[in-house]
Amino acid sequence: MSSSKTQNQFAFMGKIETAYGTPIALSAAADGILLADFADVDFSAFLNDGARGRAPGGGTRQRVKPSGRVGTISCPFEAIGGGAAYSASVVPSPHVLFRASGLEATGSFGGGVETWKYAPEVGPTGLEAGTFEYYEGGQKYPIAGGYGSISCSVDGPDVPRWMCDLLGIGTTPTDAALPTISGGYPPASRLPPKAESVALTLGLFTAGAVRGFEFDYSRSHDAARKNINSGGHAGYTPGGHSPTMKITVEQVALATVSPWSTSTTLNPYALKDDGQLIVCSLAVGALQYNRWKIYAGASAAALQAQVVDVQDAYDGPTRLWEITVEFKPSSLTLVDSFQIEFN
Amino acid sequence: MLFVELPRRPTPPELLAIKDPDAREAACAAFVAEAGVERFAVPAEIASDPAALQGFVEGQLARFAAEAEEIV
Repeated sequence: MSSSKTQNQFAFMGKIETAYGTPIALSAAADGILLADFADVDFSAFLNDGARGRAPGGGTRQRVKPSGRVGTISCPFEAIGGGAAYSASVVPSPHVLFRASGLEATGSFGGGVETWKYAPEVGPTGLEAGTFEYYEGGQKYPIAGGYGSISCSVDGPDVPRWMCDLLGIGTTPTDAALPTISGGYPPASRLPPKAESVALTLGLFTAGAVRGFEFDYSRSHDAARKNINSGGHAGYTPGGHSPTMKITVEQVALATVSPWSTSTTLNPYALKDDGQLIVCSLAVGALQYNRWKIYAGASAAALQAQVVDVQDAYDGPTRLWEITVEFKPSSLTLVDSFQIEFN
Repeated sequence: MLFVELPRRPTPPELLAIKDPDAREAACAAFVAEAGVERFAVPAEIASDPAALQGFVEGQLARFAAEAEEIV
């Protein structure tokens, strides 16, 4: 007979909370979130581990019970579009993970051009968090007040792989049957867009042969709110963010004059030297309602990206650039450094 | 925070029926831009419930339709 618990299946559910840190009931009929693989779960840490120092006779004293379980769930996922005109109920598959990651969601429902857009938000009043339950190995791992940060990468013509690192108030894992998710997952037949015809705009340069990219929102959200009047753990307060995109592109002829790019030439060294603000937009997929793009600023034409690093590289005989850009807000007070758009 | 942007007038069916996807998108985008959109901040208790959000959207669209009838 096989072992009593097996590592063959997983399920994941989540929902945005109405009151931060107060768990809400999740429904397998509505709240499924499709992951691309097993999550990386850690429920072993506490805000206080109960240690009491040394005993007079040597050794260490008996611990008190630990307080404030920390739950982390790192979720790999794909960005799959709604497959039909976006609406209040037709959303991209990462909708809840994006919102819990400090991205303000805007559904725009003009007939024929419906979109969901996600832009950074720092709060404090508008920040959203979620209750999440992850199931694997016959056990359930719940967190409340879950905040996340997202990243995305692809190397070659593959499906871009997203990650959402969730952190929240953990609850002791329990034995639980795997829920049968019947709502929230996109249909199995709806496939994610591949990175096989990525449209990159960097400055005026649009003719790039893109090898891969890495996007990282880099939101800090690990400042625990220690709470000695109610259970030890009151959740977290997200901090700032520093979104970056590293693009690997085949080298082309160097642009020789400012603005250091044309449609077919690019000079990332000079862009870095000058510190110019430029357009940076990267689109994946072509089919309406199953495509997405990431761009600096509040529109794909905004001059809000800065080249901060350029590395020469090669793949066999092919010369490459690894260009890192940072996304910047349009003013000292606005929170509009980038946007992810599903259209 | 969740927001919705709603068109002040529905896109005509003949634009939605254009066969070429690029031409359809361009025509619809031009119509929506001309008609205008209004942006709403959605209260948290509605934003966490898709059914409630759908009701919120339909309510606002019905209000636009009623306003358009009054104008006519």
